[in-house]
Amino acid sequence: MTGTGSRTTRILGVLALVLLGALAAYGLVVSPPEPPPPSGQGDTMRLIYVHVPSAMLMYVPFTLTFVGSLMWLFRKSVWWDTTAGAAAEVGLLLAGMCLVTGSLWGRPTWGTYWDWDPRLTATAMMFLMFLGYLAVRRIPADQSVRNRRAAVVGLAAFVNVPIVHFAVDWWRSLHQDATIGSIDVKIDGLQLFTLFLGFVAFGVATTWLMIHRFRLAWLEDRAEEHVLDLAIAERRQEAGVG
Amino acid sequence: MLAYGIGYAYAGWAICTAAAAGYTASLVIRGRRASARVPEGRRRWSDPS
Repeated sequence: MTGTGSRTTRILGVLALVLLGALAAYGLVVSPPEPPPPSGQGDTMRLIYVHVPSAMLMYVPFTLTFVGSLMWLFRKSVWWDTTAGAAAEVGLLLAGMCLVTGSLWGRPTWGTYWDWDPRLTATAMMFLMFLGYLAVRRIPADQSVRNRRAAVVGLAAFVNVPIVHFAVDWWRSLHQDATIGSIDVKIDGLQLFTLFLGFVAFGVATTWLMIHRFRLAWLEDRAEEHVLDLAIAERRQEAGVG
Repeated sequence: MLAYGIGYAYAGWAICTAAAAGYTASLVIRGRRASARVPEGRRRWSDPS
């Protein structure tokens, strides 16, 4: 078996591509636009099908980073440390998508690409902290030292996750509150279907990405070990030991 | 004024598609390269060490 693929991930990958293709078709063509402002959002509504799923799904990998960091600190589990690192990278991709689509949605809707609103600021902070987490993982150090440092930063970065989620409830925010998730759902019909399709498509794609990123990190660690094993064997041979 | 903001929508979708595709391709390529450097039987976490 070469690469990071397996039979299961190939099936998952094909499913993700089909679902993302369907999402693009529904999100960009089939789903109707809203009326233009001031009564609606016009075609900028189409950004919501990427923005909301990426915003909600990014919590999953960041939560895995939190759990993985805890498991390293309490169990010294390398598997969990690898999971934490892999998940943070995928979470960052989703957070980046969320910030870009949010910014592009904000320009025609709010009149600005960026506002120092609590939700937006907290999301940017979270993005930067998880970027810092990945940077800490790359600082050369003994594996246990590196993993401990990363775990502490991972736990600190996770503090932002509930702040991002509840920012619209805790502070007066320019950002709208939940579109779905309450009894009073604010969109319906084809738009609601497309949004749920977005959740499913992003969910499958996120799972695929996390599995592959985990396997890649695992392979890179094993490759490093293998090089070290070969070097030790070579030295031993030179010294006539074993 | 039917297509209000369609340019922003296309730009957002294009940027996200490019980012996801680029990241996915990098994972697959780096995975193949790393896999070639690891002996068979040690490539998965489930393999006996």
